[in-house]
Amino acid sequence: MSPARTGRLRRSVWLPNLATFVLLAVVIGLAYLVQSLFPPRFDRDFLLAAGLIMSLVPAALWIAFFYRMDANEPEPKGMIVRVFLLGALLASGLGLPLISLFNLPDWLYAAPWVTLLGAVLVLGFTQEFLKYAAVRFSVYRLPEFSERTDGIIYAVAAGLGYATVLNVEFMLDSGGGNLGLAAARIVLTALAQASFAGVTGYFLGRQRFEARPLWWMPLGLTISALLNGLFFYLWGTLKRSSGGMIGGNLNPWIGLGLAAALAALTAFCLAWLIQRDQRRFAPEEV
Amino acid sequence: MAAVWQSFRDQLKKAVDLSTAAVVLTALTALALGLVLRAVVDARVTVVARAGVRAEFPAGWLVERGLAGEEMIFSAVNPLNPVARYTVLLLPSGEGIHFNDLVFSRNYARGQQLDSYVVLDQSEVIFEGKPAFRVRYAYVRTFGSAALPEVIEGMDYYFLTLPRALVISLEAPGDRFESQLSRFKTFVASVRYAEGGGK
Repeated sequence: MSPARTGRLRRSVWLPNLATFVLLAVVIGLAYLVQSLFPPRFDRDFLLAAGLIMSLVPAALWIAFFYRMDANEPEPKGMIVRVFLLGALLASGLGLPLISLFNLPDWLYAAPWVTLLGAVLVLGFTQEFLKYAAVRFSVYRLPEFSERTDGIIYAVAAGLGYATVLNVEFMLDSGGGNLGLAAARIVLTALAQASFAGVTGYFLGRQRFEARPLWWMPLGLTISALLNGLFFYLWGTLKRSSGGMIGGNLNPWIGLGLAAALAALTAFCLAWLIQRDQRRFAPEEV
Repeated sequence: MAAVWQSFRDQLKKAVDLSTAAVVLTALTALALGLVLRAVVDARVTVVARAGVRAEFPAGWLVERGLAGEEMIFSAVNPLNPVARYTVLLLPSGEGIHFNDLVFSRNYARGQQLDSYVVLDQSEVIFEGKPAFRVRYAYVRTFGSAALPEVIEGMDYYFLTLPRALVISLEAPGDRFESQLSRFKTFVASVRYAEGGGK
């Protein structure tokens, strides 16, 4: 690719991406504003509507963030939406029921190493496998899956579908007491689920167009499950005070910050991989 | 034999994408290991003894011991997931005491202290071959305007031991209560009251 086109590609992506982050901050700010101006509402219909809006807006912004990077041959939007919906369906139809069978709250917090290992084995592998399945058994063999980057884009869509179901469920369970913190959590969950799915998508994309060994896809799934489990661990466990007792110096922002850093780092790596492939496999300009 | 195996592999390759099969196998293996991990955690306990009562709490739980002279002997929660609370009490007892005497006074006291306290079910049962009295109850816990009120469900097991009666209780939010029962019954089975024997 010519240096001029590379420069244009970078410029064309940076401004909208900056706008994405500003809009996400606006979503969180609006939630805090609503929380401070209006008394809390606890009825289920309101929580469902608020949960859907608060989940779909960040999902749309994150999907636009990754979609814009796929500049060479953008995917059909209808196909992206279908994979998104499939991710959501698999989450509500299989993911949540399967994970609930493990009764995680009863044993997952027995010790920090149990939390980490259990989160990787049960949460990580279940969630990442279903996001993988949403791509592998839908668009993977279709002509629309036409370049390596498409693996990431479609997997991100499946991950955001999965995250939307998790976020709506969280809103319904949370009782609606703290909209601002809920909005921050929703934005972060969406980024994390999308990014970890994107890692599997990267492996899927290369598997589709290159001869890869048998261990290639299991390795991709394992890496994304590890990231997913580590994210859960950082978010949930490190927020405790050093004494490890509840009611001490609880600081949810420490865990939230570390988890956000992991998700953001993964997203940054994915963005770099997409841009690298876009430059490497770009059609020549006439 | 080698030819048959080769032919089988070729047929399998045509029928199933081996890479996909490997991914499915990896995920299933991870979930199986998750089940093993759960079994290992469930088997870990911490033995605590006080005032003649010995109990096996799930490992990692925070156990609070009552002061001398208090009815409460132990109260325990999982500090990392404080959903369920186990409590062990020793109540005044004697030769002529019946279950109803203990249960009535305790229900009455709770009715005075807790919001919307209601007894859902109470009956004599046989627990692991020993006569016991089981009370299932519920009440409402409020959080001001910060969140919706929460229904708490509870279960007491009364054992007419001497010189004092043993009461073992579970409390958990209503929507999580059923999932706590199996582990609670294991806990109840682990409790031993040595002073005077009985359970």
